Amino acid sequence: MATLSNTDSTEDRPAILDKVNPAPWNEPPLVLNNRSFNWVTEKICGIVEGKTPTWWWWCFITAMIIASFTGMGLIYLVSTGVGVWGNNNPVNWGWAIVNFVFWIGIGHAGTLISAILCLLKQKWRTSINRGSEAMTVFAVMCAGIFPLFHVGRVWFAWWLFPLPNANAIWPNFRSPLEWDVFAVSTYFTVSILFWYMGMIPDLAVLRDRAKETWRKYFYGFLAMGWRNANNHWRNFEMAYLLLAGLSTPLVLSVHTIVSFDFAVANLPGWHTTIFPPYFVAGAIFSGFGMVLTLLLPLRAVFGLHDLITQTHIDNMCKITLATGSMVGYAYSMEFFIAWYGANSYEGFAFINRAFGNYWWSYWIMVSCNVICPQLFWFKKIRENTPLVWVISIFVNVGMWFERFVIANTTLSRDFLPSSWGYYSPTVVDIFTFFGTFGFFSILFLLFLRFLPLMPLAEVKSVMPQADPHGGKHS
Amino acid sequence: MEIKYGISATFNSAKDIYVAAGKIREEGYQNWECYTPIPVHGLDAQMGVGRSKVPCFTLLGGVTGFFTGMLLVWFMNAFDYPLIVGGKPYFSPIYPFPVFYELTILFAAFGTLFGMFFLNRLPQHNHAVFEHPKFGKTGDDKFMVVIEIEDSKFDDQATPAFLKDLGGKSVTVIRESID
Amino acid sequence: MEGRAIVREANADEYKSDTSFAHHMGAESHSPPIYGKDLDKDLVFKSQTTPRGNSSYEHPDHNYEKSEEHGLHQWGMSIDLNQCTGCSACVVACQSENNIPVVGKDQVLRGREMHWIRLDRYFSSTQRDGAELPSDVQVSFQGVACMHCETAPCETVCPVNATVHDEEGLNAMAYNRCVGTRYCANNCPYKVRRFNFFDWNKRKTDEVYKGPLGEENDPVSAMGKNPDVTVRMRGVMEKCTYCTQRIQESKIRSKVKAQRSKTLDTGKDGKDLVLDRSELKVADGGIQTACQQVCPTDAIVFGDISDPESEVSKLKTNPRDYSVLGYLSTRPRTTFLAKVRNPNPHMPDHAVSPHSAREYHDKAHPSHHDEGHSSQH
Repeated sequence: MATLSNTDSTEDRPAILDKVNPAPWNEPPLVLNNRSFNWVTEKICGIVEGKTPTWWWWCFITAMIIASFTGMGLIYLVSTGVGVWGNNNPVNWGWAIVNFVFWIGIGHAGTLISAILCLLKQKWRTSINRGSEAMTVFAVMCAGIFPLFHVGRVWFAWWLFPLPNANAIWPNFRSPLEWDVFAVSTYFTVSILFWYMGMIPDLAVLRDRAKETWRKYFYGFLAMGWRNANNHWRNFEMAYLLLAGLSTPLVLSVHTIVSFDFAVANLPGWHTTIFPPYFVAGAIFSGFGMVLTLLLPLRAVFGLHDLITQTHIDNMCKITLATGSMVGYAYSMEFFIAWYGANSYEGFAFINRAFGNYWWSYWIMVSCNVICPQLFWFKKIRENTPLVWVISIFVNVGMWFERFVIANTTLSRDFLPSSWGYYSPTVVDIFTFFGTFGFFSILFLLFLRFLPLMPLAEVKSVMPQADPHGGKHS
Repeated sequence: MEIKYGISATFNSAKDIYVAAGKIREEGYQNWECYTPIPVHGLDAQMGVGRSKVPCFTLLGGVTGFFTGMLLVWFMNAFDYPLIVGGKPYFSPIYPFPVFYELTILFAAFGTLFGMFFLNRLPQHNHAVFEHPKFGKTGDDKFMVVIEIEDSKFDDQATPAFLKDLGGKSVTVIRESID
Repeated sequence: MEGRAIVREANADEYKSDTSFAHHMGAESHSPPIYGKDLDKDLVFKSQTTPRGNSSYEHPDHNYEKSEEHGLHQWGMSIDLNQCTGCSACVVACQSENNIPVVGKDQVLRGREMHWIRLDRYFSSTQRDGAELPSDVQVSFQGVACMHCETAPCETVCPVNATVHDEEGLNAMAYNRCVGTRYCANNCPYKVRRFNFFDWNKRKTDEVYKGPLGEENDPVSAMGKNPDVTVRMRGVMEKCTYCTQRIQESKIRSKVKAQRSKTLDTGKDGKDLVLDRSELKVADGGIQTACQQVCPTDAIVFGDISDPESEVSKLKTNPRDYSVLGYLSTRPRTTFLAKVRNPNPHMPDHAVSPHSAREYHDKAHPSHHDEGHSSQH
């Protein structure tokens, strides 16, 4: 059976246990305070069905204002030209591609939680996977803005798709940007499908509880007529497992392909085989940072302490620590290989990162990515929720700077010193980027308001009442 | 006009319905269903149903995606309009890897989702069981068994009694209107 | 030059003792040879087939199925750094020939100048650390335009096939297909690609930031443009084209001339008229790129490298010939002839090797530094 139900039963007790008496391992409960199924349903549905809280309106209005910066920035960009950004020769890709990789990377944590933790049978994922999948979908939407609009002629951007056109030329499938088209479209589509499919049973619950007519139609339409039948669940569980199994290689490949944007180029500092695993680890790292940033305040505001427990926060911090350490290892390996490989251009590129014209960005990156997550070794810090939240913000800042360091320091000083140049973002660059946080917030706030924040069935499945054999959990 | 669809009985825990389902199957009923708020582990075996067929659709989708990707790249870069690009070969199985890999996953995902819909006969916004006054509780914390009238072993007296014996609460007749 | 072998120089004495000093500099001097097993093939073979050497796949041949006079010539260029005086006439000529827009001081300060050929200027000296200007400065010039690499890194990364290779070895830029992702400019190691960040041709120079509300350029200035060359809109990448308009014009004129004389000789016309490949070839010197035409010292030579008798082919067999960043295996068609300085040994700032060569050797062979070697190793 697929994913989450308790599988142990007292009937198949291994014979060894008659000889040995192992110390009891009290697995921490994933839902605290002995809650009932009904409590879970009321809690989650209550958020959707209740009156809109005032804080929500304030956040929404602020998010709209911030998102308008992106709108205005993009209109100015498309009407006037890429020159309104700070791009120049040689730094032809400035903030735009940095922002693209940043947002796509954030999305990867959602898929990791949904798909990879599902395959690894990590039951604690159930209370956070819906929110992080939503984060993935919205992050990919924010990410998609940048490769679309950073091109010089946005109205022809559709030529990147293999569609017949008046030039009678087809796209070049050897180009990493072309691979990006397929990777990001697939990632977006599959993430939405996975997110939606997982939501169908919960939408059915909301449909059945709905009092207003518009809710009945809205949730009824989306729920597709789901009846909670065992036959439904059977196919659903299989499809869920299959989508998890498909999403796992997908998430690994998508950021690999995004890293190919850099790795396939011949520039020193870009042309290195460490990029695929390094980028994937970095993406998961930044994504978990964003998950913590989003879920910790929600937990406080909606009173979800029984569903997102200290165990959950601990585990998320540990994954952040692990991936942050991988990223730190990758940094040191890059340096080692740059020295060991005796390619003078590569060696220069790395010395330049640390001590050259962008040295300040490099040291911000190192302190946020390598030093900050190491604090998660300490239990006292993991239990201090506000501090965890602050560290998660630093993680994201650090990861943005990592992409900035990779993209812009290499471009700024590459092969011919006569072409070296400095890149500074313009006001338009900055506003367009920060506006995407507003766009993301709008989508996330709408999600909170209208869609169930947690998967009811999955959360209930990890509670002791779900075990058909009576369960041996306390 | 309303006709009888079936009899429903509610259970309060996963364990209860698990045990009941086994007994119902042993009794010989064929047309019946369990409605649960969570997928109950082991209920498939108790009900006597086999593995889901969704993987067939997934495989079909995946294979279609793979060949679509390869054909797309071969046709566009090697056959219809070959162009010398950086001295690279017109076609090789290596460089289309991201394209065919992503299309394989995409089409397999479509196969999975639409296969799941197809096998579940969804969307189906209307069904007799929605007429049960407390159907909504099956999404909350109640586990329900429904035995249909059409079952050969169905009996107006024996079946509800049998369900009560198993521990089923609030044995109800579900009626659907067929106007 | 940061100790990189970009402009390769030697003094006259060093040149006398080792004429191919340029081949002993640069990363490719101590890496596996780029051409591998095809190293000793002649230039004609190399230009027509682009052999891969020890690589596992072959270059597709230059003959596109649908082109008739395919690969008739293979264009190449040689720039002699010894002759170059750094006068910038090539820059000006290219600008007027190819309708390169003037971007204005503000945009140049931001690094967005549009010149297709630029004169790189590197200073070297022995006194690097002081705050004052050193007194023994040497300057090295290098005119850099699109190298028309045989295995161009820019072509591989363009997602829409806007830049591809034509059958005569030119790296062709299709302006109407370019979407403006600028990946090609990132991947070009020589950074010769220029992007139209604004509508410089359409709007007045100081009005570009106003977008559609900015004042348009005076239509009279449009009359100054070369009608043979497209004017590019914003969002499109451009670069040196080896003056493809002049190449095409010459090829057409040669073909017309050959057709006329053949008709007169044989009396055949139209479909019956069949011309031999040798009759269609443009004579050496028949095409001059704008930069070549104007260079006062004839430092730039352009021609057909599949013809072993052409001037450019002969220059490419010169031992001073080298490719900039050759180790990247881009196979540039524009190669340079290394500079030989002949300083007066009695002058107070005389040094055994040019400063840039000494810097290169210090960086590349730091262990040899104390052995008193000058430039050879």
